Formats: sequence, structure tokens, C-alpha cells
Amino acid sequence: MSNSPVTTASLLPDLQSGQLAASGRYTFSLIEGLEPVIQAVAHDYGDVHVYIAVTGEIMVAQATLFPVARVRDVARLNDRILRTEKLFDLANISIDTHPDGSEFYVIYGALRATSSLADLEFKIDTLAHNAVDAAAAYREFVK
Amino acid sequence: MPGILNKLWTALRGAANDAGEAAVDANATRILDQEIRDADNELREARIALAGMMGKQSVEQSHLAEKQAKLEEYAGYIRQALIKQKAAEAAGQTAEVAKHAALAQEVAAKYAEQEALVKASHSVIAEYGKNVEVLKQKITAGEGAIRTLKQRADTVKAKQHVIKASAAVAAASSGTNTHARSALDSLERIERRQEETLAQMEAANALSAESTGEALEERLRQAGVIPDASAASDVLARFKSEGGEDKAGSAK
Repeated sequence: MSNSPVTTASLLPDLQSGQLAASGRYTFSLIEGLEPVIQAVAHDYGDVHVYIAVTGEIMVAQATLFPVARVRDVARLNDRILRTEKLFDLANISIDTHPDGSEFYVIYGALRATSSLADLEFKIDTLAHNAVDAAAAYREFVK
Repeated sequence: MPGILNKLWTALRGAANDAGEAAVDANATRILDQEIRDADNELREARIALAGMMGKQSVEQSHLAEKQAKLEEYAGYIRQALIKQKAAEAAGQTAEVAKHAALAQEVAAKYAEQEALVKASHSVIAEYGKNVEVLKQKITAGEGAIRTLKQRADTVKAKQHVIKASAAVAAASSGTNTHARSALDSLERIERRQEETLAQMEAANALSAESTGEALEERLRQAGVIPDASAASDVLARFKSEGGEDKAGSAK
């Protein structure tokens, strides 16, 4: 990777020619928009979608866990998440609000966009794995 | 600059109280941007103050140099007056002795005044030096705070881009079978796949067991262990030959 500032658009070809894509484990594509975002489909992890965006110095990779609306007891789930989130290395769990007002539990990780491609790929792969593990860990709270 | 972050949380709390928790998301970028601008203004002020302080310090240093030169000058006068006083004493010129002694006394008083000024100048410069250090630390801390705030703002912005994109994918795929895949969907998909794989493996096992059984039966038949269709005529032949010569006639 060059030393010029990394953007979401400049990251895409790097990922498409990287190890994750070459091994066939991931497919990367660009979701066009005012702020383009990379969509990674993790074939090893049930084709879970990981969304990747770069702004300034930070790359964020994020996957949706499940809608808040499907959670039976939000307070109990939140308590469980606070106690167990540490098990998901390099990841944070948060509640995000979509523009239409619907809310989702998401898992995400952030790191410097200037990190090596191998580090960025490791982050994405770890996140996809963690997303499916987190879904399994918290599924009992979802109806 | 811990104050900056305190302000941030206060602002976020305010936004949440005003319009519910969801408003935190919407306001985080705006508040962070504001915090960065505030921190940047403080940093700018600190830099201007530092430049001013360093300027004052250097002016005071040149004043000190002048004062020290003056002090040296007075020292020279005192030495000269004392030398002349000694010479007059040796020559026995009483009036001259008194004149030079008085002069030396007068200059010594001036010297004492000047020495106090030099000392004061030194302490002023030291004070400016302390202020310069404090301002430099403040600038370093401010730069660090801005870096942290910018990273947070970047993270929040990147998350917002991601949220918009995943919402767009969800909206575009709603009502179709290929809906946006959450981790829970993927987990269920993985489990379905595993069940399918398991079922396929069981079926394959059963099939292979059956086919092995068939093959074995065929081999046994060929070996004559299992009677085949032609054995019926053998049996009949055996019965026909019963009571005959071959009493011990058994299957071939």
C-alpha cells in the first residue's frame, strides 16, 4: 500500500487482490453512494455481510447482529453484552439507528487505515468470525 | 486537557436528554466537530501566547546584555578610580586621594544599583522560561486531545457511512429473498448447512453400507456360500438321487 491517504475507494482494489479474496473466502464489492462503503461477504461465516468504511485515519468494519425490535429483554441482553463483550477480541458491540429509525445491535472494530493490508484483512476476518459467534452467544435473547 | 472530553460527554448527555438516546448518534459528529474546533482555538491561542512569551524572553535577554555591559563599565571605572587613589596616596596628594575615593564610592553605588537590575532581569527571564515550558506542555496536550477527538470523529463518521450503506442494502433487498445478511441470519445459514451436510453424510453412509452389502452378497453367491438360482436344480437332483448310491451326496 502506498503512503498516500487511504480512502474507501482506494482500499477496495487492495482487498480484491489480497489474501482473503484470492483464497475465495471473501468477496468484496463497493456500495456506491455519497460516501461509498465496501461490502465484504464472508463465505466461511454463512456469507455474513461486513461493511467497511474509511474516514480520515480510521477504518471501521462492522456487521449487523440483529434488530433491537427482535430482542425479548433489552436490559438483560445489554447486561449480558457488557459482561461478555471482552470475549470478542478486537471488537465492540453497539446499538446503531438506521435513517428510518430502526435500531440494530452491531459489532464493529476500528483501526488505523494506514495499517498494513494484512492487518486490515485480519481485522475484517476476525470481525466476521466474531459476528457469527456473538449471534450464537446472544441468540437466546432474540425472538 | 481533560476539560475537552468532559465537555463532550456533557454535550452528548444534553443531546440525549433533549431528544432521546438515538439523538446521541445524530449529534455525535456535530458535537465532536465543535469540540475539535474549540480545542483548535485553544491550541491557536496557546501558540500565540507561546510566541509572545518567547519574544518577551528574547527582548529581556538583550536588555540583560545591555545591563551587564553597563555593569562591566562601572566595574572598570571603580578599578580606575582605585588605581588613581593609590597613586595619589603614594605621591602624598591628599586632595587627589579624597577626590578619587569619593568617585569610587559614587560609582560603587551605581554598580550596586545596576547589579540589582541584572539580578532582576535574570529572574524575569527565568519566569518567562517557566511560562514557555507550561505553554509548550499545553500545546502538546492540546495536539494530543485534537488527535484523539479527530479519531473519534472519524470512527463515528465511518460508522455512519456504514449504517447508511447497510440500511440501503436492507431497503433494496426488502421483499426479496436475498435480504441483507445479519450475523444471526448467517449463523442460521451455517447451522442449516451443517445440518444438510450431516444429513448428506448420513445418507451417504447408509448408501455405502447398502452397496457394500450388495457387493458382499454377490461375492458369497459367486463363492457358492449363498445359494443362487441354479442351486434349485441341484437340490432337486439331490432329492432324486436319494435312496440311491450317493447317500452322502451333499451340495457341491
